[in-house]
This record gives sequence, structure tokens and C-alpha cells, in this order.
Amino acid sequence: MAEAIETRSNPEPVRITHSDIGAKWWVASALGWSIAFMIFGLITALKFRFPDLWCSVPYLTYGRIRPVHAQGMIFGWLVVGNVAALCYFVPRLTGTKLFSERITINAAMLWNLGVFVGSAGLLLGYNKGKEYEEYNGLSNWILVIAWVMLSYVICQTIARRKYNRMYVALWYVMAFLIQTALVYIFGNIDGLTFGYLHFNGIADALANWFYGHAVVGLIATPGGLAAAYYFMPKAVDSPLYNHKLSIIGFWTITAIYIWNGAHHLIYTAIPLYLQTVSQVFSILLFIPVFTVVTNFFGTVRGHWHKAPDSVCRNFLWMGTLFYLLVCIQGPFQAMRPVQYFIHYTDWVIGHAHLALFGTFSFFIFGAFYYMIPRMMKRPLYSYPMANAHFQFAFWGILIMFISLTTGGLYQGYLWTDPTIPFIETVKAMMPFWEWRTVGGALMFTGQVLFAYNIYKTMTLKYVPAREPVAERAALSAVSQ
Amino acid sequence: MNPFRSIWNWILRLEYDWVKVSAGITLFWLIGLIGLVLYPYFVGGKITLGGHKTKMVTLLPTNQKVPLKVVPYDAQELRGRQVYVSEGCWYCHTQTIRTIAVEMARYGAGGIWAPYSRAQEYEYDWPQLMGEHRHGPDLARVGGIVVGWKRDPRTGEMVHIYAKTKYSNGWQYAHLRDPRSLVPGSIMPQFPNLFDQYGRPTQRCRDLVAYLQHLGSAIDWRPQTYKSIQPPPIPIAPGTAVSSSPSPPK
Ligand code: HEC
Repeated sequence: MAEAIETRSNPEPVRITHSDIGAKWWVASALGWSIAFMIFGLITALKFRFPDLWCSVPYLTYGRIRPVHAQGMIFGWLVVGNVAALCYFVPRLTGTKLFSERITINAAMLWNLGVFVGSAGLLLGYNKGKEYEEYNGLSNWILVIAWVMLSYVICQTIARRKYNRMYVALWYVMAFLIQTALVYIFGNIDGLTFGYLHFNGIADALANWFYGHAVVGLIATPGGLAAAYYFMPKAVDSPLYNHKLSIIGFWTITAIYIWNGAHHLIYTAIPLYLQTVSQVFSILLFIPVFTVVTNFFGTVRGHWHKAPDSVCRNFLWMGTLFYLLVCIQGPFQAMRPVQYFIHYTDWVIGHAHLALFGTFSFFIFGAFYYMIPRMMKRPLYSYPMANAHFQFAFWGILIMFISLTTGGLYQGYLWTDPTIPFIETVKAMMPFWEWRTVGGALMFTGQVLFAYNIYKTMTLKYVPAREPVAERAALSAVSQ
Repeated sequence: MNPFRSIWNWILRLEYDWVKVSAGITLFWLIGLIGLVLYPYFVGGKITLGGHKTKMVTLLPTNQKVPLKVVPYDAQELRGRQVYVSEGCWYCHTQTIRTIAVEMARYGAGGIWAPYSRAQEYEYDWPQLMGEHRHGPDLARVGGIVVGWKRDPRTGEMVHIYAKTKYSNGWQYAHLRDPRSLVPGSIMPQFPNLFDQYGRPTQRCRDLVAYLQHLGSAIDWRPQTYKSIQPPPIPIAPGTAVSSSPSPPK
């Protein structure tokens, strides 16, 4: 008995005009931050080839711009992009208006302020010294307040919903809101209390990676999956394959992901049982991953060519494939024999990029290409440009991933021979780092096209008369 | 009635109740927090984190029973630690030697393996700087052992005296100033801002190097005859100025 839920018939039996002004604010912030922080990423990559690039400017040394890039891409682009998407689809899934556009806008402004204060602080040297939680205490406070405001709006919207039954995307939205708050407040407790409450030593490492892994698993994952669960069926115009699978996936993800943190500390001085526990739970992650992926594959199967919106479909589909890849790689690399070689090498960085760019950013790209034309009630500015963005992003992340993964493996292998001086293993990495920079440059080019395209779509007053066919298709899609 | 069936039905009904879903999400998170952080810290702390119970993993050939004497940082080193944090040295350097034989061999000296990092060595570390990336070598054992105290003539405060550090202070200064002059092909950036216009280390730089020399001071493992590596004398090409920077005032 296939119990497929009709996502198409779910929203809007009653016609509501959504103003979406809050969502537009978050969209604009996501675009701006993504360009800014990707530039920092590019400089970081270039510094491997030219270590002395701008070294006399203290604010632009490697150790300061790297966290600006990493923190910025997560809290300035990924989280913001996910929030933009959920501000769009939560009102549509609940059949009510967003509870308050005004609070949403204020939350967006405050959030941007927080990201700015954090990044500027990092450039000035205010770094908390733990990975993924580098933003200073002031910034932590601003971000938390903004998040509480946003959560209030979304929870009020969900509580006032017209449809009693909640589609799984809404569950993920709730997980996204709650877990981000919990994880962020706990992880940054030293910043929020300005150093009054903190762990030290090994316990600090445990807390750090409890948080660090949760940033991917409990913030980026529910946020991205919420968007994918909403936009995937929309993009191919078919109902979700199996509703029960998505429920199993949801509860296993919330229960399991949190236990993985310690696999960042394998072979170090943390207790052995914690290392083993985290490995077991890493393997268990296959359950939610396969349910999610099966669900998406099933949704797309047989509907590929019916997609009203091929750009959106391509991005979501490719994101799903990357999700499968990264989630098979993740448990694999958490195993001790693999950690032996690849820990501390660039393999890990390749993995992180595949997860955060290849999967979750692709979901956001797909979501934006779907929702912006509908929000603005006009077709996308340029479909060829969107397709070019896809090519750039795809080849960029692929080149980066392959070069960092092979390079990491190679360096890890060289490290197993203690007679090779360390510096030789560094020199051996140079070609891989050069290819990584090429990949990064492609990704950045794609991102510029994306931002320009969305910007033009949102600001242009008239419909450009190129591409008559695509335009007609898009117009019909808008009017449906 | 089948109990599994009724549990499953209860789960299915959750999709009408957003409060219960939220409660479930929070609950799972709390369980994870307790299991991964709070239990090891508060309950297991005495046994696992403070004691020697971090078990050896298979790859170790011998059980290294080395005495451990954890020395707290002095004021200068604490400042240096802050420099290390804000300059982001820890994005390229780890501070943990894993329980892996080849790794201990790599960071060893004079045929003696470096001991792997132990939990108590991190006792005074906040934030911990174990690190996640090794673009540069591990620094857990780059320092030496504390042999006494002296008064620093510049600041007037009491600082540690070290012996058997991997590198001398002079090497560290020269390296921070221009890594490629000592290690060709290095990707470590220059830190010109840690030096004044005459190329002398600033106070921040001295703090930083004092901190580096502290790393690994809990264990005395280098051979008794070990000599710290000194910077090479500056080569002077004939016909060129001795130094590009003007000589410091006397
Ligand atoms: C871009 C990455 C990078 C950054 C940032 C960096 N280093 Fe390095 N570091 C390296 C590399 C690569 C080496 C190995 C080659 C060499 O000795 O120069 C190295 C070597 C070292 C060594 C010698 C270690 C040994 O056992 O031979 C020390 C000490 C050191 N770095 C300290 C620092 C300090 C202190 C900072 C921060 C002010 C720092 N590094 C920042 C990459 C980096």
C-alpha cells in the first residue's frame, strides 16, 4: 500500500497572495555573502601556491582569512540560503501567511550584522580558537537573538497552519530551527558567557567536535533536506515517492547524527570507547541516508522529462547524487584504518566541500531557481546563464573534490614513511593544490553568474525577449 | 494488538503535532550531549580524562610508560598562546601525536620516538588546539622541558627556562620571519608583522616563541645529548648590502 503524499495538492487550495518580502531579504543576504566569502576562499586557495601573497597586511594572513571563508560560507551563505528557502515554502505548506514579515526582515538584518561583526573580528584577530565556532562573543549574541526572532516567526506560522497534517519538509524545518539554536548556544557557550563558562583540554575537544560535526549534521543537513523535500517533488511535478520512508529518515537522522562528533578525534587522547561509539554511529548513518536518497530517486523516476523547471531539477538531482557520494565516503573515512591515512590531510577538506557545496549548496541553487521566478511572478532572467552556472558549479566541485581527495590520500601515504622529510610531502601536494584552485575558480565563476541572474530576475522591470521557448515554458510554469 | 504496530502508528500520528516533534528533536539532542560530552566529562572524567585510561590502539609496538609532569603556562606563554590562536597557526598545525607508530617515529629525534599525546597534557588548554589540518608538521612536541625560571629583562616578569627544545629561539624567529629561507619549498607564510622595522622580534613574537617552546614540556623524552637546531648563519653574497633593513640603533 503505497502511501504517497500529494505535495502538489497539499498547498494552496485557498488562494493566498504571499508577499515574500522577508524571504527576499534573506535571498539578497545569501547572494551577497556567498560572493564575498567565496572571494576569501579563493585567496586562501591561492595562498598555497603563493604563501607570501599580501603577507605584510596582517588582516590578510592565511590564518585570518581562512576562518572568514569557512565560517562565512556556513553562517552567511548556507544557513541564510536555507532560511530564504524556508521563508518561501513554510507559508505555502501551512496554507497561511508568514506570521510576521517585519520580524523576519529584522531578523535578517540582525543576522547580517552578526556575520559582519564575526568576520570583521576574525580579520582583526578576535578568534575563539576552535574550528567552526570562531566568531566572537558579541557576534554570537547577535546571531542567537536573530535566530530566536526567526524561530518565533516560523513556529507561529506552523502553529497557525490550515493543514493539520505536516509535510515532512516542515519537520525538517523544525529540526533546523531547534537544533541550530541548541547546537549554536551550546557550542559557543564560552563566547556567549564571554569566557566564564568553558571546558578545557580534552573535554573541550570533545565539545568542539560535538559541535563541529553538528554544524554539518544538525544545521546544514536538516536545512538542506527541508528544501530538497519541498522542491524535489515540485521540480519534477510528481508526488513524493514514499511518505513513511521520509519519517524513518527523519527520526534516524535526528537520533544518530549527533553521536558522530568524536570520529574527528580518532587515535588521539580521547577515551577509546568514544572513538568506537562514534564509528558505530557513523556506519548507522547509512539508514537515514539511504531512505532519503531512495525517496528522492523514486520521486524523480519516470518524471524526469516532465520537469517544468529543468535547471532546478538538475541541481537537486546532482545534489542528491553528491549526497549519496559524500554520505558513503563519510562513514568509510570514519573507520580507523582509513583515518590512519587520511586524517589531517586535504582529503578531509575535499569531503567538507563535497558536503557543503556539492550537496547543500546545490539544493539551495535548485531552490532559488525554482522559487525566485515564482516569488517575482516573472521568468528567470536568463536560462542559458543558469545552465552555465550548473556546468561551472558541477565541474568546479568535481575538480576540487578529486584533486583534494587524491592529494590527501597521497600525502597520507607519504606520511607513513617517517624517513621522508615533512617538507617533501608538502611539495608533493603542490599540483593538487593548484588543481584545487582551478576548481575553486570555476565554482566562483558559477556563483557570480548565479548571483547576477537572480539579481537581474529580482530587479528587472521588464521581461527580456531572448529564448522564446524557454520563456514560454517558464511563464506557463509560473502561472500554474 | 501488535506492540510494534502501535508504536509505529504513534510515530505516524506525530505529524499532526508539532510540539511533540519539537520535543523529540530536543530529546535526541540532549541524549547525544550527555553521552558524548557531559558523561565523559563529569562522570568518566576522573577515570578517562584525568587518568591514564586512554587505551593504546593496536599499532603501538610497546607500551610507553613515560612519567608525565604537566607544567602550567607562565604569563608570557599564555599571551603567546593567544597570538597562536588569533594568527591562525592552528589551521595548519596540529598539536596531537596520534597513537600510530609511524607518526611517533616521524616526530621523534635521534632515533627515539616521540611519545604520543596524552590526555593530561591538555589540562591547561583552553581553547584546545589539537587541530584538524596538517598543512605543516605537528607541533605537539616541538618544545622542550622546563628547567627553571628567570627574570625577563624586557618585561620584568618571571619566565620559564627551557632545555632540549627541538629548535632554538633564534631558529624560531628566523623561521617566522622567512620560512623559505630555512626550509625551501615551505608554504608557511611569512609573518613580517611579528617583527619590527629592523627585523627584531616584537614582544608578541617573543611570547609566541615562548609558547612554542612550552609545547610537549610534560614529557622529557629527547636524548640527554640533544642539541636544539640553530639557525644557519646569514649568508652574505659578495657585493651586496649586509641586510636589506637598516641596522638597529645602538
Ligand atoms: C599555511 C600554513 C601554515 C601556517 C598558517 C603556519 N604554518 Fe608553520 N609550517 C607550515 C609548513 C608547511 C611547515 C613545514 C615547513 C617549514 O618548516 O617551514 C611549517 C613549519 C613550522 C614549524 C617547524 C616545525 C618542525 O617541527 O619543523 C613551526 C615551529 C611552525 N611552523 C610554527 C608556526 C607558527 C607559530 C605559526 C603561526 C604564527 C605557523 N607555523 C603558521 C605551514 C604553516
